[in-house]
Amino acid sequence: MNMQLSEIINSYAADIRSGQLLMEAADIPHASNPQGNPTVSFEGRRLHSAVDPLHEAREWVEFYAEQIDAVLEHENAPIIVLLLGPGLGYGISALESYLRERQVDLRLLTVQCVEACPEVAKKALQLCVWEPSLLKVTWQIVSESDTSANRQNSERNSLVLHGTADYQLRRNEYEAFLNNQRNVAGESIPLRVLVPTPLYGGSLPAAYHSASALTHLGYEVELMDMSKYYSQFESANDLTKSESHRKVLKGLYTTYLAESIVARAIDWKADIVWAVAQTPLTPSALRELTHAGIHSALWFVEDFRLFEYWKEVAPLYDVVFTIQKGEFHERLRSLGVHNYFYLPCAANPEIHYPENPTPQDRARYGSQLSFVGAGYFNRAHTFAAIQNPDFKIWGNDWPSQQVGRHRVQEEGRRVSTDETRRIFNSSSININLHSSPVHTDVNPEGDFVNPRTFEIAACGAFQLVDHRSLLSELFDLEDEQVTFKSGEELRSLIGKFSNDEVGRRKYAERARARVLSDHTYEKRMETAVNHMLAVLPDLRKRKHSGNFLEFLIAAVQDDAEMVEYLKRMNPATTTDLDAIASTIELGKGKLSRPEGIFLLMKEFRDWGIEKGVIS
Amino acid sequence: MPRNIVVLSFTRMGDLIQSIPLLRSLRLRNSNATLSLVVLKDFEETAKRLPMIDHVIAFDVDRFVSSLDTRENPVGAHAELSRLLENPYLSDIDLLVNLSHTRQSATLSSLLNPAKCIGMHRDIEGNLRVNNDWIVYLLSIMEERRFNPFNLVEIYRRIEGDAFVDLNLELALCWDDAVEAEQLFAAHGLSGNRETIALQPGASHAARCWPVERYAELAARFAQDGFQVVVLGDEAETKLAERVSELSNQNVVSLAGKTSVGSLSGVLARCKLLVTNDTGTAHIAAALKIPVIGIFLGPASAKDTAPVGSDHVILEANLPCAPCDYMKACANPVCKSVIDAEAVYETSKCVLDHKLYTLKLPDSIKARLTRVDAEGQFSLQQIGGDKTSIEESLDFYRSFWISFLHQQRGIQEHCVTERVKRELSPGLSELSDICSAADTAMNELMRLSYTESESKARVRETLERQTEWQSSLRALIGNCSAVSPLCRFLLVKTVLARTSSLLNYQTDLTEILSDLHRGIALLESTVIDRNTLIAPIVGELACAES
Repeated sequence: MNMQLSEIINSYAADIRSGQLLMEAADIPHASNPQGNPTVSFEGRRLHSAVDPLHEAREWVEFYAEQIDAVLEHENAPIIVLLLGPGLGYGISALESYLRERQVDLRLLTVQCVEACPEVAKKALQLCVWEPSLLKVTWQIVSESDTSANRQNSERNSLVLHGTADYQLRRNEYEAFLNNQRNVAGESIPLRVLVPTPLYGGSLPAAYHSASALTHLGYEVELMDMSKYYSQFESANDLTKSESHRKVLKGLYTTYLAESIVARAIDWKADIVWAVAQTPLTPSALRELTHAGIHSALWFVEDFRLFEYWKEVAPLYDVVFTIQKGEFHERLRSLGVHNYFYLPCAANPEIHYPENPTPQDRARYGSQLSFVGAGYFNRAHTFAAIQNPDFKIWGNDWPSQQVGRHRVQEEGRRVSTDETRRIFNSSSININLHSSPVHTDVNPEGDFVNPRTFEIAACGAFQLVDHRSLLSELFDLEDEQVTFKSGEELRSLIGKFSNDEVGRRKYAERARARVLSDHTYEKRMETAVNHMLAVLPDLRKRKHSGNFLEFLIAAVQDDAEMVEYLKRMNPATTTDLDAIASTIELGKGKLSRPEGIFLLMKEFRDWGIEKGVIS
Repeated sequence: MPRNIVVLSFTRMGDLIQSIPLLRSLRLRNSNATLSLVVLKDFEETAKRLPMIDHVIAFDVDRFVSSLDTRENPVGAHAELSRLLENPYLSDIDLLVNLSHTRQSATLSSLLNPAKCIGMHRDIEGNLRVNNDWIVYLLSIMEERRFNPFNLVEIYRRIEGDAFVDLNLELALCWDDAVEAEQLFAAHGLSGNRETIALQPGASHAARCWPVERYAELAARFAQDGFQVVVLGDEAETKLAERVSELSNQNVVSLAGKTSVGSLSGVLARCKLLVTNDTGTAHIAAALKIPVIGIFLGPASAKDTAPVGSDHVILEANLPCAPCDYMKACANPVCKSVIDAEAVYETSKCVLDHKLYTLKLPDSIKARLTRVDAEGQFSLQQIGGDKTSIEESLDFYRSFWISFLHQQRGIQEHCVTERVKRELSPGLSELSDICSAADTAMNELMRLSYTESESKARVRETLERQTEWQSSLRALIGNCSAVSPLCRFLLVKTVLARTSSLLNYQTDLTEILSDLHRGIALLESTVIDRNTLIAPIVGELACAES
């Protein structure tokens, strides 16, 4: 052992034991290609391309590109890249080049090379085919029986990459290492959230965005898109002119849909059913969910004063989230609802983002002044008084006579979500006036903040928004939003900002930054789940129930045969009784006692589920 | 000789009581063995009153299943199961008889690792097996019970192979039971000296229940005649029982929900008569030798589950659809309206006065008397009326199954009427064709195992040929009802055939084919006129001699 290698080992070894194993490892020969790039064979297997190992490594990184990008996008904390079976370490250089191309701060990353063959690792350190850089690289030697060294790495690894030939050589050992590490980390089981959408209406996007955000947060999510049943629901109108009969038919159909949600939730073993306003969940369906031990949450993204059906269902949900506070919360309390929380609307930056409009978009959707929304009384009244000639109004139900036929765009059709983004991005000033069927301009008692406020902001577009009592909690009204309290003030602000592009941009940029930091659907869902975990102890228990197999093994310690049997299971995939039962093959060799026990449990459980005794 | 015998009975109370003759037979044949009975927790008290049982082991299935909720780690269930498996009476089992015909009980039977097992179990490789043809028969009659001539008591008893043990039921009435019943009577103002009649208006399923208004009318008639009337039932039937009392407008006392198994026995022992639907209470009364009038409606089949003993009366609606096929929901339960309170009242009077021979009921009601003869055989005798076509068939099938399943003598000649022959002939011819096809298919299957390199397509084709004759067997059930019981029996066996290996499949199919041949031979022997067969041979012999 020369001094130089000893120093290298000391600086790269992840732990004392790895260092020791590296020191003791035998030397193995290597060969080089014409360009001088070394390669090595171990146990009769070549670990890298003998022709062009650098090209091979670049292709290997490309294979993982999507996964790497996803982690980089969502991980702000330091990232640990676990490289299982790195061979001579060509992958390290390739990974570094890839990260540099994406301008990633390399200081945030640690590449931990996990090698099961000390001889290979020793050769890698002798040859050092990767260039020392800002990227921190460590080497750890592991073996199947070795678990002690893993405890220090028990934090969750952000990214796990498998080497090629070297990984295959000791595949079982690497998998055992990874599983063991996951056990030590005590990874929690992701909650299963079923998100049934409404059939139609303004709350529908909130359900889609909730599902998407929950998925990004790592929950197991199933979106039940009920909007596909809307045409059947409406078909009652074609059958009869009798309103009462239509109501009966629609009621029966709603009951069917509600039961479908319950059936799916039970079948899929959902932990939570996340409903938004107008999701077709009837009181009896909610009772069934409770009976089945499935939690339900309602995000009532509507004005509680306009839509009153919440009174019937709110007490049956485990948790209710509202976009209003004060009076609504008092009324919920008087109905016996204990778990209610304020959860304002939000934006989805994947849908609403800044973009430079194409000339065609600018011509079609652009204007100095624009409004997107339905033609409520206060809006029509307020906009009729605006004299600005370049004012486009998008949306349905507008009294064209009152606001000006030429202003209502494309015959007052509904605009898609995609189009709203183009309109916001193509307009100098986006007016955002919350609806009111009774006021002539701004509702002086308006409290909640509509989704449009967040969406315009997420697009980095400028808006003038009417005053809302809850707005100041969400945005800084000095720097992030410009508000008006009357039609007159709106007209004055239009005049002020029409020619102030710098001012508009300043507000828009700050509002966007605020949305991205505080008002995304992901933030809302994170808050919502935390609230639910706080008030629903069994949900907390479920999330943190830890490793299923580990818990089971600990409980059957006295039964050596059972422990032996369970230890053969893969902890990563053995997460419930079904997983164990699925490994039992009948008619293929002797059925062991532990297999018989799990088979019996599975049979009794299937029976219990069929009888509706358990879920 | 087995020293440790365990009977597994995860069934309801009625089935448990109906297994008494089998348990008695086990006791008598193995007088030195320990006889343990594993039952569901709910029926532990009933089991403790079976005099031939040494140990009762109760399994709390509700608690066990609730700890198997998908959200829970099954450690609780494992602990529960371990407690059961570690019970000292469940180790070193020489003989285990499984009377619960479910997968769960089969798996548990195998986990208990008995030296010998009778009933549904799993073999060493985990394949589901039924090693007793009477249990296969029991499974085969689940879907169609019209042609089943056996009471469950008799089937159970034959499972163990003892056809001659006394079929009468017996329950031990403890001193405590009598005291409890006395206290219950006193608490409800009931006299110990007055003649008492008990009514049981509930049942395991609403379809089996005689209308509550009619029970009330009957209760009123009894009360007017000076009888003391009590209404029985479990906790879930409390409201039903109270409704009987309320509608009767008489002093009719509801004891529903107030009796344990012990006190129920004690109460029944104080009664002159029990009028009931098809219930476990009927079997307890029969075991205590209390006369029972059983009103069997919906899917309740007197043949299968009538209380065993002598002089109980079963009343049924004389309708072609009665009883309903098992597990079929009836949208129009006309049987409920056929039997009126007057008919049950008249029957009761005849039973109480021992004058059943005078009973006259309308043709719409079928009345049958239970009878255990001097040899211990159980039967249902129709009170008035001629034997119907079905009843003739039942006599025939009784003789057929005993011959077939016990591999005994042929079918008794008096059971083979001309009507039976006529009904059998067409089905028998089709059955013979199926048998030929099955033989050919089987030969191909046998060849497969001797040929080393068969193409996958060839193997698949050969296996498909096996399913073809099985499908023909299934089709025959619908086409010819007379041979359908045998077809169903064979089909149950095909469902249970092991498909885990070619050898196992061949072995099991060979056994099924052997049964098919045997069944056909037995049926043919009834149809073919022996004289026409024998005469030419006799003639030939005569010629040769001369």
